[in-house]
Amino acid sequence: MDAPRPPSERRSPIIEARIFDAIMFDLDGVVTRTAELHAAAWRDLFDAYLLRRAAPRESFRPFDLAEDYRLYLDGRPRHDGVRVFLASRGVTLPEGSQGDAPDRETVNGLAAWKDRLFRERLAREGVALFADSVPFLRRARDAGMRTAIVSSSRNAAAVIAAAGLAGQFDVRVDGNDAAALKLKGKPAPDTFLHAASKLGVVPARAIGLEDALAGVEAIRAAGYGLVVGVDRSGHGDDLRRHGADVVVQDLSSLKFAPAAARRRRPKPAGPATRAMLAVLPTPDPDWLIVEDGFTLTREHELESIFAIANGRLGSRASLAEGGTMSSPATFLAGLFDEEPGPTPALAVLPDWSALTITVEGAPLRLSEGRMLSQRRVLDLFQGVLWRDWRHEDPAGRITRLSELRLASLADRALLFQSLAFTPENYSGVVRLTAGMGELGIRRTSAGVTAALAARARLTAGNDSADPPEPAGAELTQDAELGKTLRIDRIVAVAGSRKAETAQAQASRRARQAAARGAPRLIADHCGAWADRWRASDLRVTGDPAAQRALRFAAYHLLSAANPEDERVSIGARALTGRAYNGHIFWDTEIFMLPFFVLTWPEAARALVMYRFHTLAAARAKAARHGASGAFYAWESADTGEDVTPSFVIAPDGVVAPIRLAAQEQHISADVAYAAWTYWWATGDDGFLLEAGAEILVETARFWASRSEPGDDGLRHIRGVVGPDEYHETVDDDAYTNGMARWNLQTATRVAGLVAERWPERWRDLSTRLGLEADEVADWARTAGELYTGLDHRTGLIEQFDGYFGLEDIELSAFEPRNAPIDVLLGRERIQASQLIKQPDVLMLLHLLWDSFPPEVRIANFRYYAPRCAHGSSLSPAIHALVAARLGEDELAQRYFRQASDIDLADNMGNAAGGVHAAALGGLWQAAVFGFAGLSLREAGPQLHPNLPRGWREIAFRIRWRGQAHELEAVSAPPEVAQAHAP
Amino acid sequence: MKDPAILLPLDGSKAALGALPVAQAFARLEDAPLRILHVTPQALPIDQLITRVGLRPSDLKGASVEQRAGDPSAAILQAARALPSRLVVISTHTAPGSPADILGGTAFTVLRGADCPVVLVNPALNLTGWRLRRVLLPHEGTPAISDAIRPGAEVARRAGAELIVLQVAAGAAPPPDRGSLTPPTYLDQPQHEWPVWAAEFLERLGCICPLGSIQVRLLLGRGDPAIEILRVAGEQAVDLIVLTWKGEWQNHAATFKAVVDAASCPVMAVRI
Repeated sequence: MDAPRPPSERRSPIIEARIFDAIMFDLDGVVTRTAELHAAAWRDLFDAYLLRRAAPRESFRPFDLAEDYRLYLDGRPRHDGVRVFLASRGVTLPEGSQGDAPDRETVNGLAAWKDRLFRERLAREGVALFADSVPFLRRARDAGMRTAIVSSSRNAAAVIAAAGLAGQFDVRVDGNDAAALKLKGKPAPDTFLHAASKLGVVPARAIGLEDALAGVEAIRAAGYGLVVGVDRSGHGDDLRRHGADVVVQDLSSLKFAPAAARRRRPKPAGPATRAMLAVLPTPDPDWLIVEDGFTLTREHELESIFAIANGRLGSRASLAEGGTMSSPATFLAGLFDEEPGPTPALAVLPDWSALTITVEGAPLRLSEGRMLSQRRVLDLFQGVLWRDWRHEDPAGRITRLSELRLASLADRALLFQSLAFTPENYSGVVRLTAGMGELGIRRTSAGVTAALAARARLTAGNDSADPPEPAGAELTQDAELGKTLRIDRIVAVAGSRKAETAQAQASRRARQAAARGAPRLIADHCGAWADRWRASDLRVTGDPAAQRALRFAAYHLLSAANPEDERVSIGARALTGRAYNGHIFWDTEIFMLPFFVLTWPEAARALVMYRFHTLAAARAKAARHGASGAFYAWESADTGEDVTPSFVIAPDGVVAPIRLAAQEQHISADVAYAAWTYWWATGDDGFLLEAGAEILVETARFWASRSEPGDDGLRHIRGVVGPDEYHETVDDDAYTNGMARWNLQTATRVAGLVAERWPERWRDLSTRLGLEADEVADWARTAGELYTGLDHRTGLIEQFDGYFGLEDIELSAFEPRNAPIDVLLGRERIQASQLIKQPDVLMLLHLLWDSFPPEVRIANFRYYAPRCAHGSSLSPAIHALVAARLGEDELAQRYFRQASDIDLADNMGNAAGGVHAAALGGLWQAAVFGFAGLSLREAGPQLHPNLPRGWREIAFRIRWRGQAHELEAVSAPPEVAQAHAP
Repeated sequence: MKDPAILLPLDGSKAALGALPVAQAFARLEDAPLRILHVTPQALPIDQLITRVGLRPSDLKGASVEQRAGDPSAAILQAARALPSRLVVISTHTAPGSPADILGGTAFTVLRGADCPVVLVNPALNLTGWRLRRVLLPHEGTPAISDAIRPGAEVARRAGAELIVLQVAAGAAPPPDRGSLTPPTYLDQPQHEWPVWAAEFLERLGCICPLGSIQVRLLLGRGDPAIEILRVAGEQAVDLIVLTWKGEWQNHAATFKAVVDAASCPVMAVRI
């Protein structure tokens, strides 16, 4: 995915202090002109050495000050430079030893020689600064940035002092540090990762400035949020090729967003975290969901809200040590089990994150002793779950535990857990019991196996070791007062029809990841999230709660999708809980998909392709119902078969039949709408020809066969349930008829388009689907004759035939209430009333906005909004969206808050079975289509903002037909909307 | 430490004696001694005392009788603390008084002052041979109530009785306690929401009030809580209703009062 990288060099790059915390400077060539000194010292060295060597052995070719320095030496540690340059001349020297004198013909000897030459020049000539470097450093500090020097040079301190910059950088990482800590030199990322760690910032929130190609590669590999190439010598294209996001010739062209936008930096995490973990929480509170303390009965909610996922794997945020209310579950997308039934459910994999800790034989658990503090943080920006826990056991021993967990977004086979353990007032024997090696398998009734394998590394102080092979289940360690033990566990998950294959794959993947190391895994993961946020973040200025809610929504949506797998889709609770069994509803197509279409089209494509791959089941269902074409499953799992339960026993003891599988037929039009929207927004003709046209044709056929002629000369669709599920077996539901009409019209249009532009493909498709010659014409005619329910006199659309004749109950008389209105009033009374569960007519207006004149929109909103009881979590966001578009600001904001609270409110209990993925998608749509007023037309995206009170700005990026657009709307009288392509 | 007892105050009235079968059953269930207390200004010989309170010798199997002087309510509360008592079983009325009062003076004072749960027995009910087969636990969904109703759950477990947990959806704001679970705000798909909600409710209850092997059924009612509790108690033929009470009486506790007043079975009152 070539997501737009902020800022673009086409304009004056602006660094947003809100999203970056630190700037790391290379020294030579960026801040100081020591590159010239170094180059000269290298020339002195190699000319002297090569001349000496040439005399008896070979011809002398002098050192090329420009080319040789740039290609082999610039940015490299001294020893590497000696090796690499000499290799370019076909010379290999023995390494020698560290204390070799400058006259020894070894790598170490020549390195010492070069060092002496450089120091002589430094003392003799001093060091010059680039004119732009000090002013830029000052501006960076004024903007609240922390600063670091990251240099390969062992002389960095001397150079900084000679340049008069002593004390101007918060941190310095130089060649001496690299040697002491065994950090690999550039282009390896180690020194930049170490600088970020020393500053206490996450790499994804750091900027790196480098003039050398190896340095640019190192910053890129470290997963920094922005890689700036400093082109002092006309090699900008090379810098870009090696990974620079932005290339500048002069640091003065880099601007900072106003420092006022920056928030006060919170205190970093505690000493154990800082000392031991390779990454720290994002400091900006707008990116964090925080839970302090512990409320036993809320555990299930928190496990869902704080879940981590990467679209393939999802894992609830259960306490590692377990607890009375712990309900750990890890899911592999698409792995359903028919048993224990009655409908297939996402299989729960073995609990990879479980970890039992005992201190001197006593278990460390929340329920034993006294919790001194606990904080759990979901770091939305980095996709990391943090926990910091201080506990006093019954014997008075105080322990601090810091844990992080992630599901790698860079490698969807991997999960990772790091737990740091610090005895604060004792020393003793600690036993960690955790799954190591092969963690277990989960085999479904269909014979598919998911296997988990782990690799662990224990670090005590500066020592680290892998557990012995075969990895045992227990590690026993003497823990010393104040010294931190850390266990890092990399877990790989593989699936296969053969258990042995799955196990072998999982073991191999875990081993490979362990060989690369946890810092690499974390950096790749954070980098992948940073890439995603560049494309998908939506910034709101002026309303931190809304900002956090929108980022929470985007986090769970991004966590739920996998562009690499077309055979899975997103269930109602994504991969965060057992509720809804992982089943897929219209939620995905209508509520979540717009987010993906506009910010992550590759994921959107995979989601729509899932519906293409399940067409066979949809055709079979249509046939079973005596219809043609494709009738999609109301609830779908892995095969596309309808897996909707047929009844429910309500808590009042009443057994209620569930008719949705047969009657909630609008699902077919919803799928068609999704296919069309994806193609229309992306221009992905390959998709249209491979899958989209076929979906549209088959769903249109379904509607053509479902509609029946009436005595009024119109066609009708009878016996359905619309989105308002309070009313079953109704005729001419407005949403169903409206979307069916759209489906028929759009299929007609697409048939014409494909036939005109790709006639052979159309012939092939028609032949394969057995499309009759006059079938397409019939669709257009049927669409024109479908009953709409619109009363042209009032502008009202009757929700279904007979709706206006039902009892009109004043809903406000029941407010405030703590239960759905159908529970309070009973099913029979609700069905005989005009109260509705969620938008039906308003849903139609939202999706087909331009098809209705303004007076129809407003008339229907005013009629239906007061009658909507919001018995569905899908409801408030769509009301917010429509209200905002109609300028009903106060209502829009109220609905938006209601939607924001569905998962995040403290006291609702709704999220125990998983987050409400569709409501989260709806929330994003309310902000983008409602408050920002985004409309997508042939001419391109446009904003017609309706910002709510308190919102000063909304800004986001979308991709529209392959091009990135940065969109922002500012609330200042008069409101201003801008759209531009970077 | 003595074993906590079941305390049965008797004042010699027939009405007070109506609580005896309930107290005896609790003593058997709890494997606790039954302590029968009579408050009298003048100490009586034991045979006269037994006759005075209306007991037969066979009633004293597993029980003991004692007498104390002073104000009846104060003496009962003092005995309840001193024994100590696991439960006080007491008739709601023993003397003809104002029929408008839900509780007689002694029962009310004991209810208000007792540290342990109080089982209120309506003397109008014939509870001879009373057995505990079904216990009704009305529950607002708060952790505090889950904690308070442990004695009710425990007695159900000992009796092997079925526990019927009733939550009543009413038009009111959600309870403020963190970790509460009210009826689901959003019922997206009832075929999924109801089983998940019921399981969550019972898990939240069970993590505070251990349910062990008790057979539990969750019901959701709607409308006026007192009417629903009484309706379910009647329809399900429950033998005991466990009610929580916040200790406030005047202009409060409408549900509590209505249920105690009209229940067709004993009510265990637990102070929260």
